[in-house]
Amino acid sequence: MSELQAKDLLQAKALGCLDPDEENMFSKFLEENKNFPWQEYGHYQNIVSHLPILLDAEIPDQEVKNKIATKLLELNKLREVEEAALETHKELKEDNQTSPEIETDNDVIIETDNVDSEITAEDSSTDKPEKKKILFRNHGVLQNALEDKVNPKIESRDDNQENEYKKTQSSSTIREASRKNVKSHISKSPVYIEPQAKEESKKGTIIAIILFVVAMISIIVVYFKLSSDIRDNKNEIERMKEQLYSDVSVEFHLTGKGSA
Amino acid sequence: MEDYKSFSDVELMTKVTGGDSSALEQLYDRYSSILYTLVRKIVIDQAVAEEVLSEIFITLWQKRENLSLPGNNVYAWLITFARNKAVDRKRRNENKGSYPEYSDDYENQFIIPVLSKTIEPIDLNTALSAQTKYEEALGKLTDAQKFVLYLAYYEGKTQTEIAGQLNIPVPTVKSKIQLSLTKLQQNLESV
Repeated sequence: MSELQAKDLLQAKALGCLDPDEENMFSKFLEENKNFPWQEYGHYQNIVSHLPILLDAEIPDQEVKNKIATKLLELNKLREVEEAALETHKELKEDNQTSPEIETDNDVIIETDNVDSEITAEDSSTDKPEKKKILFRNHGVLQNALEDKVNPKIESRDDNQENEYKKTQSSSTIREASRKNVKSHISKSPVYIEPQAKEESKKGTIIAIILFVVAMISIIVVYFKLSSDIRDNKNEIERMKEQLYSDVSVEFHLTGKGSA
Repeated sequence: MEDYKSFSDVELMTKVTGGDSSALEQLYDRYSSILYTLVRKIVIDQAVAEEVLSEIFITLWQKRENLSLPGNNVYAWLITFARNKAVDRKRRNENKGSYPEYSDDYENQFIIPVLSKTIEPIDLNTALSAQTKYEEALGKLTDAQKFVLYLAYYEGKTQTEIAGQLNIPVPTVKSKIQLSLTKLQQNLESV
C-alpha cells in the first residue's frame, strides 16, 4: 500500500468501514510507515466520534450496572483464586526440586500440611492491595455490589465456589505432587533387593515344593484307596447277583411261576 | 473520601488503570447513556444493547493494565470502542457461523481502538457542547452523503457492502465516503 492509497483510506478507516483486506493492509502500513498523517487521521477520528451526540439519548436499565458489578466481582475472585493456585503450584514445584529424596508417604503428609497452612493463611489474609481497594470502600453501586449489598446470594455462592475451587485446587496439586514424588522415586531409585529378602524367598520356594510333594502323595494314596474300594464293591455286587440268580431258580422250581 | 464527580475523564481513566473500581463506576455513570444510545442505534435490540454495554465496561476493567490512550482522549476511545463492539455483535448476529472466533487476539486487533498518536483531547462535556455545531454541519450535507455515512457508521457496512446495497461501483462509494467526511470537516470549520 502506498502513502497515497493510505491517505485515500483515512476517512473510511476513521469511519470503520474498510473491507477486511484493506483493514489488514492499512494496519501493516501503520506499523511500517513513519510518515503516516497521524494528525489528519486523528482529526477525522474526533469528527466521527461526535456523530452519536446527535442521537436522542437513551438511558440503560439500572440492572445493567448491577450486572456489571456482579460480573466484576466474579472476575476479581476468579483472578485471586487463580493467582493463589498458581502460587501454591509454584511453591510445590520448588519443594519438589529441593527435596527429591524424601520418602513418598512422608512427603505427601508434609506437603499437605504446607498447602493447608498456606491456604488457611491466604483465606485469612486475601487482603492483597487490589482486593482491599475493591471490597472495602464504602460507596457506589459497583462498590456496593462488590461488597455484596446488591445480591448477597452471589457473594455466598462465590465464597462456596471459591472454597470448593481452592479445595479442589489444593487437593489436586497435592495429588499431583504426590504422584510426581512417587514417579520420581520410581524412576530415580535403583532396583535393589536386600539379602534377607533373598533368603526369605528361598525358604518360601522350599516350603512350596514340600507342600506340592505332600499334596501329590496324598492324591496318589487316595487314588489307590478308592480304586481298591471300588474293586471290592464290584466283587461284592457280583457275588450278590450270583446269589440272587440261584435263589430265583430255586423258587421257580418250587412254585412253577416266573418272577414278575 | 475523594469526589469522583469532579474528576476529569482522564483522571478517572488513570484511576481505573490503577484498579480503582469507584472510578470505573463514575465513568459508567458519565458515559453509560451516550454509549448505550450508540450501541442501541447499531444493534437495535434492547437486551443485546445492554449486554454489549456491560461487555464494554467489563473489558475496560479486564484490560485496564494494558490500555493505551493516545492524546488522553477518553471520549473518542470509548465511543470508538463501543461502536466497534456493537458493529461486531451486529455482524455476528447477521452472519451466524461464518465469523471468526471472538478471541483475545481478535479483540486486540479489531475491537480495541487505535487512536491517532496526535489526536486532540476531548471529553464528554466538550463533545456535548458541540452538538449544535455538528447538527448544523451535518445538515449541510446532501442526503446521499448523509446516507453513506449512516450506512458505514451505524449499519456497520463495509465499502463493498454499501456498493452492493446501493448498486453502485465500489470506487464510487469510496469517493463518496471521502467526500462526505471532508465536507463535514469543512462545514464544521465554517460554522
